[in-house]
Amino acid sequence: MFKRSSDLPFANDTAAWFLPWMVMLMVFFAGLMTAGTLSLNSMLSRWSRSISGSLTVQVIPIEEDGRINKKKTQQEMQDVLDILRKTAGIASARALTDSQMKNLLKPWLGESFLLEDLPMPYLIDVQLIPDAEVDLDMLKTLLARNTPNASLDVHKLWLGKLIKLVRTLDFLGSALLSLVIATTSVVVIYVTSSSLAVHKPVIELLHQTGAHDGYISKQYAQRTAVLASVGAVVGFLGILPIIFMLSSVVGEVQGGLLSEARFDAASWGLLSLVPVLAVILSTLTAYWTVQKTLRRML
Amino acid sequence: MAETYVIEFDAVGLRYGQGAEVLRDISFALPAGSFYFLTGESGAGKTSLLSLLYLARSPTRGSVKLFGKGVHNIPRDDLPELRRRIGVVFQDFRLLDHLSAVDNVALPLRVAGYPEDEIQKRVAELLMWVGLGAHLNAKPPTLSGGQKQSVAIARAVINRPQLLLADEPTGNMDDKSAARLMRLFIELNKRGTTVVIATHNEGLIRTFPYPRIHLANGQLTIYPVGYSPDQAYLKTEALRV
Ligand SMILES: Nc1ncnc2c1ncn2[C@@H]1O[C@H](COP(=O)(O)OP(=O)(O)OP(=O)(O)O)[C@@H](O)[C@H]1O
Ligand SMILES: [Mg+2]
Repeated sequence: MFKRSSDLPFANDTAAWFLPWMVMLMVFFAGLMTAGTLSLNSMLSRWSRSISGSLTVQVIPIEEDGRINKKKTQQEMQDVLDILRKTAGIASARALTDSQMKNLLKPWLGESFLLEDLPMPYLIDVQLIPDAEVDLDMLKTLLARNTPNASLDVHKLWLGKLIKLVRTLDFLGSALLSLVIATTSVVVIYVTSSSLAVHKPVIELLHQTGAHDGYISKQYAQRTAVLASVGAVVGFLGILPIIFMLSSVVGEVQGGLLSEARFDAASWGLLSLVPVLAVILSTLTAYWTVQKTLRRML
Repeated sequence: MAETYVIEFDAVGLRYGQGAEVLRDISFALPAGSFYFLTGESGAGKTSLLSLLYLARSPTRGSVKLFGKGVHNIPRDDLPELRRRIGVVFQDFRLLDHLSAVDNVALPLRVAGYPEDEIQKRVAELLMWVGLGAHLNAKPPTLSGGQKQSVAIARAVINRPQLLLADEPTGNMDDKSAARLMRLFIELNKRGTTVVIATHNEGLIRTFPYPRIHLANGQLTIYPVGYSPDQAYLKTEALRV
């Protein structure tokens, strides 16, 4: 019988009306952060894949009096290789041999050409240690200072910076999320304790008639679950238009980096966990608060 | 065979805060199935004594035993089961204003987990019996003093307690209603419930032949049927149990 789900006069608890608002805000923010984190991370993993594994350093031949100074160029190549091999996260660095270069160019230039005649940059193939963080920024600075003719793949450098930014955002997001969760828990504890204080005579009477603490805690848990669910549903509904709007914006810039920000079924699944977890968290917090408070009563 | 006592007090003292002792050095025992009136002037400590019995507070000193067990070392988790064996009519009723008469009376059964259909049946029957058949769904604030008292009594007896403690249970009633509710207590007593009724109503005491526990100056005296503390010459014959 739902008619009388509680023996406590919850209708008089004005403080309780904070609760759905708070849970609504929590679900809204936590949901947005989860959605943001999920799409940024899918973007991130695609980006990381594209820069992990290998990268290329090119060394432009050093010219003197209109001729390539082979000796100086070789020296520069050697310096670059030394720097690369000392850099953390790099498995190997190897200059492409003339025959490898020729093989690379064959499809475009045919069989008969002299490599020396072409102002071709020398290429160094760099293999990265899987999953290792390579400080591309520092590498770039080092190369620029010591070997001005060498340059790193710029696209990858830029992606590396973006990844760092996204990671920072991720971290900020989780910090903010923890704050929102903590605040909501505090609100639940406050609302529950003040209700317990207001209804002390009723609770004493329930104890007197032989109620276990659990009988009372359960009513508080039920009540909190209802209030939190209202907030959670409204908060969740609030996120939906924002996600749809953002996805349609992302869809319009097809092919760009943003299109890597996919929001797939798995992401939806995770996102819909947010309101559920918010309700569970509030309910358990209320239950725990009542149990703890009642234990101090006779 | 030793008599089993439902209530045993040994050198019990009770004081509120730093005040003087309201109950001093009280020792007595009530056998199972007995019926007592509890008398004494206003402020003599009747409600205080009862509150020790329904476990709302612990004595400042001495020991209280209920159903043969010392109340000071009962684990907290066992208190609900113990309290379910005790029915209490509070002097100030303590009805829940937001619940109907039915739901108020149903509380002891609900907290004990009885099935809802049995609860409805038993509660309606009892409320009918105490004369509230027309007010089953009335909220306490809309009931008269006597009607509230009847609800409070019904709540105290609905779970057929082994010990019934009633604090001035008929104070707000006409004599006819009072006699009717007394018969309810007597009926319960016949089935084995130990009953203690605090009252100022000498008429009630004269009508129903039960011994009385009298409180005065923090001390307790038990008088057999027909004896009363006003009759000074009888005081010497008062029994101390
Ligand atoms: N909660 C309390 N705090 C402090 N003093 C109290 C408290 N309850 C009762 N007293 C005091 O204890 C004494 C006994 O009070 P009690 O209520 O037990 O009397 P009583 O016999 O039930 O009186 P009445 O017939 O008027 O109901 C009184 O002097 C009262 O002032
Ligand atoms: Mg009293």
